[in-house]
Amino acid sequence: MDAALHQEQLTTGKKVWRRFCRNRLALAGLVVLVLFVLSAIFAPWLTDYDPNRNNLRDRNKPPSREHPLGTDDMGRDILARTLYGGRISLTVGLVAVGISMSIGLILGSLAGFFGGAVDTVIMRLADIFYSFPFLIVAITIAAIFGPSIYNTMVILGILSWPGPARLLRAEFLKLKTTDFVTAAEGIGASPARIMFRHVLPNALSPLLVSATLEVASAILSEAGLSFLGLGVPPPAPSWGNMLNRARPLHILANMPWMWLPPGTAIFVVVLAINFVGDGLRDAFDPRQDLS
Amino acid sequence: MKRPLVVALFLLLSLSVIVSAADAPKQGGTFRYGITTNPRGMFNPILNTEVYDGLIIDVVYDGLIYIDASLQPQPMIAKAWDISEDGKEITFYLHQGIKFHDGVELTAKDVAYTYMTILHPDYTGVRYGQFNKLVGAKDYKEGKTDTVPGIEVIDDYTIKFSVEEAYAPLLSTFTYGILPSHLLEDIPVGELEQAPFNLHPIGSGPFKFVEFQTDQHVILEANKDYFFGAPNIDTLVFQKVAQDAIPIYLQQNRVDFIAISPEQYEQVKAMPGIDVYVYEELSYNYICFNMRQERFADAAVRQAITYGFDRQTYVDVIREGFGIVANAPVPTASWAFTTEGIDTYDYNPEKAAQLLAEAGWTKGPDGILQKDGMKLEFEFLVPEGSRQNEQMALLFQQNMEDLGIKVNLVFMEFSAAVDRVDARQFDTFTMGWSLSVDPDPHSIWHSTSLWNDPGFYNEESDALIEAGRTETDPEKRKEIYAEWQKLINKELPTMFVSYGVTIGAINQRVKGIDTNPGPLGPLVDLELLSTIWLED
Repeated sequence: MDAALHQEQLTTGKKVWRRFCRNRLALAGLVVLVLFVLSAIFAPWLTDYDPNRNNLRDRNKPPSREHPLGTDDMGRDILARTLYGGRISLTVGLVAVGISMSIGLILGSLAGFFGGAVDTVIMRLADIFYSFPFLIVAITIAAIFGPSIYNTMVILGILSWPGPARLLRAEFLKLKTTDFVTAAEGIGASPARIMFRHVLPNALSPLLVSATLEVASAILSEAGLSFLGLGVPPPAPSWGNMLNRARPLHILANMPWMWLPPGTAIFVVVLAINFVGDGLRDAFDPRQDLS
Repeated sequence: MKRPLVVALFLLLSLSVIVSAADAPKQGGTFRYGITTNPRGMFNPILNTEVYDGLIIDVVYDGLIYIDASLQPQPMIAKAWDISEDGKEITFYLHQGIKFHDGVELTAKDVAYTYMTILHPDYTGVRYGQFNKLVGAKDYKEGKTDTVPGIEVIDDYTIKFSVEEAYAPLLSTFTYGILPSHLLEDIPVGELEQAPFNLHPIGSGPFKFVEFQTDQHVILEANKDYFFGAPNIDTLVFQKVAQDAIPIYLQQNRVDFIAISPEQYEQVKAMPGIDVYVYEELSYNYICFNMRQERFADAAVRQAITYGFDRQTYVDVIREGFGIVANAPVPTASWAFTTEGIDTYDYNPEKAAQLLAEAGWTKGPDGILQKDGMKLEFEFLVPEGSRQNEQMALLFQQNMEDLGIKVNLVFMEFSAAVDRVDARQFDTFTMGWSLSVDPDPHSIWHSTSLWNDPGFYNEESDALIEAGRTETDPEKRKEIYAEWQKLINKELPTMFVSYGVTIGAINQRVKGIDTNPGPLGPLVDLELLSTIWLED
């Protein structure tokens, strides 16, 4: 039976992948995303510059042979900072979403599976978290615990779990009434087995889609927090704090090489992730086959 | 605040009067003074510790005397004074009819209250050291007596101060704003710091306090009954401006005066309608070591760090030349400035490494210098808001990294940083000192000073500081301070980074400023605020 199940899942995966590939935009997004991830991973091989090394005698230089994207106000290579900044921005995005998905997964499953008082407590908690204005809470937490990469990830993760939790709960409620769950109950499967073995795998696809989109919004939030000086502290580069450093008027007006690269990177990556997320949603939707 | 005689002002203005002949000062309008750091809201002349509060205090209160553009004491509330032959007694004769903003007359009683409070055993501020030479001050401070014979109210308009021994900076210390005793005398001195009065100050100065909104502004209105003549402008606003936004604020005429940062110089200078002035201030910035920590207790470590920090690059590149590398705590603008015998600690990483090696520091497995379980890894506290400070911090961090010293940057809001420093919870930090005209370093550098942030206890230094105060011959004082600077330059309880060169941008609609500014700037601190006027 296990082998049959495995086969079944494989074909589902294949189907999804085929449907995904049919969506040109999603595929392009995936390619772009992979390129960015690779360039972040292999940053040390792509540039010889240390992204944190100042060279004040060489500051504010426009793009040139030595510095393909120019240098910033501390004389640091913009290309190097954009590549390494991608590491931090993408990591923050992934880890923050990892945290929010983990919390959302656990609480959402519990609420959806057990219902009743458990459901009420968890969902009211979610309502409370939902009702916080995100930026204000994030700023307060950052102000109290001080800006750091880890705090940024934790802040973003903790503040955005209600979304996935609700999504999962809804899936659980829907799946609980399906025939295969009734059947599993009928043959005497334990609640844990039903929950983890039967319901959860089926509820994961919408969560995956939402996670993808959350990564994009986490990258944006990190950029926002760093832009306000509350995210990743200097000297480590992130796309957000690179933009922050380029904020003075004379830089905005006369030195576009300082803000174009990180700005473009954020724009392209967030757009790519959104395309991928859209593609995934469509791909997971079985009705797509009807068309 | 301190407003000179009208006659003197017109002399000063003769040039601009020629240009626009027969122009009487226009009345009305709002003058906006841009600030990049929030005041703390301690608008009390004997308790404030920061220049940003000082701005408001200077216009709300008047002192017995004021210091003019050429750094000379001039009469204010005191219309005249006598100094006895031996220099030990000083008698102030007050103007009659000066009124506080609530209409109550200012008398010698208020003057006595102000200075008695500074000497009070429960006084929490930092000014005591400047007045401890008054006769009986020490006994009163220690609670042994209830009176200070050195402060004697002769009648409502005459007050006499006497000191135990001649004391050079004595006269110039009587600039502190006079507090209204009728509003404050019932508050125990120990609780004065928490008094609501500090947020709603009432003085006798040219402007009345209206409101303070953190991160926005402080609004003051002209005191129409000001004893020395009502200001020409109606409203004075201290407008909080983010450093990056300064050029926009200037361009849109949303501030009339603001100190700009070096990188904005070219841009602002090119703006029509804005004049830019560059002047050397009585100020310097520094990096303070916490000498209470054993690793910073050794002068060799402090010297090595100084050798290892490229201050010339900081001044040349980050400050774009608007600054002078500092090596001692007396700025170029002061008469006591000296270069004789002062080590310049030119950037020399080899020498720094050598000094550290001689002092017994060796690289540990993590590449960080260590010795007897101590590590040269420390926090560097940097107040937020100034780009130059941030850039300096990054340069410092990298210079130190090259030596095997790990610096962890902590950026903090200015008030929060001050709290940490006051609680001595720091390894190193950077800030600046704005100094008074007299070079007497007692209030910052004497080991008993509450501002002794580095934790510097040195008998030789204390002795020189005390000698400098009691010596009245300026030439000899200069020698004493030269000697003292040599000592500080060797000991380096703080690393001196640069002397202040300020760039002030002022809107051309402001008339009546000092167009050839000395160390106090085109507004002569804020002295001219009560006499300038605004063209439409």
